[in-house]
Amino acid sequence: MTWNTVAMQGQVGWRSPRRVDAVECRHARDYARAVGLSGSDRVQIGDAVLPTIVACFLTEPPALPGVDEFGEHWLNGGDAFRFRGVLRAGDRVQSATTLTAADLKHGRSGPLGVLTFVTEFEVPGSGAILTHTGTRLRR
Amino acid sequence: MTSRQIDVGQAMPAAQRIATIERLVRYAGASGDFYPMHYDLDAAVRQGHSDLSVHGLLKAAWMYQYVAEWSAGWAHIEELDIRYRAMDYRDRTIAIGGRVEAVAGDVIDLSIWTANDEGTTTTTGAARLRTHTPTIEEIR
Repeated sequence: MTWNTVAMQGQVGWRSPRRVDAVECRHARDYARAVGLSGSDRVQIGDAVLPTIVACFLTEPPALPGVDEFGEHWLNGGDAFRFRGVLRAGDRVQSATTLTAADLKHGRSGPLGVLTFVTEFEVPGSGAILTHTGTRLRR
Repeated sequence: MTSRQIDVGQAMPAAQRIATIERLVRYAGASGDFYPMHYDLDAAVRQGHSDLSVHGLLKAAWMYQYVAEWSAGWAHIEELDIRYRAMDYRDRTIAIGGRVEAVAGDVIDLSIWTANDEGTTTTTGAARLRTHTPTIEEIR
């Protein structure tokens, strides 16, 4: 396994291309079913949806350039959500992800890269809806 | 239920979830997270896991629901912070629990967690609720 700490930490500040995702009724229904939410058979435009659906608008695992230089596998270390508004079916969600930190730790199984990705989700006209902070590990 | 009935130290009702292979497939399809450790047993084993692992963000969604159901109608979730401590695997019972840690005005802080069927804590987390529910006009 290669492990280039300089390359890993050099990626701090990396920003993903901005993406736009529609909160489609069918997708919101399928997501709700997938996480086991009952009573989610009908989703109509304007209905509030589970805000954790933004997980579907993240690229998982992150498409960080040069990631093969530090570690072989991804693990999920944590997810934090700060909710600022209601997400509704029919909304168009703009988002971009930034790598805000990259730290090297030494665990029992060897080096562990701890990467912090922050994604801001906005709905034009409504402003910021949600901030997601993902801690992703490279092992 | 109102915030006046919420006491520090109060336990939230326990809940359970099981991630069947069908649920993992449905979640991968809905979320687009097709990292092999969630559906390819050989890949999962090569990564040192004993079975197919449950997506972290699926557990996060469960914990959001758990808190949202408990506070439905009288509070909304402002923050949810989940830390994954150990893997959860398919077809294993995952227990979910929580407790009120602090109440200050209209803000309630919770600790939440999951544990596997061996009693090992696999996820820890915190949630912050606010008892005022904003109107649509306030939000939009």
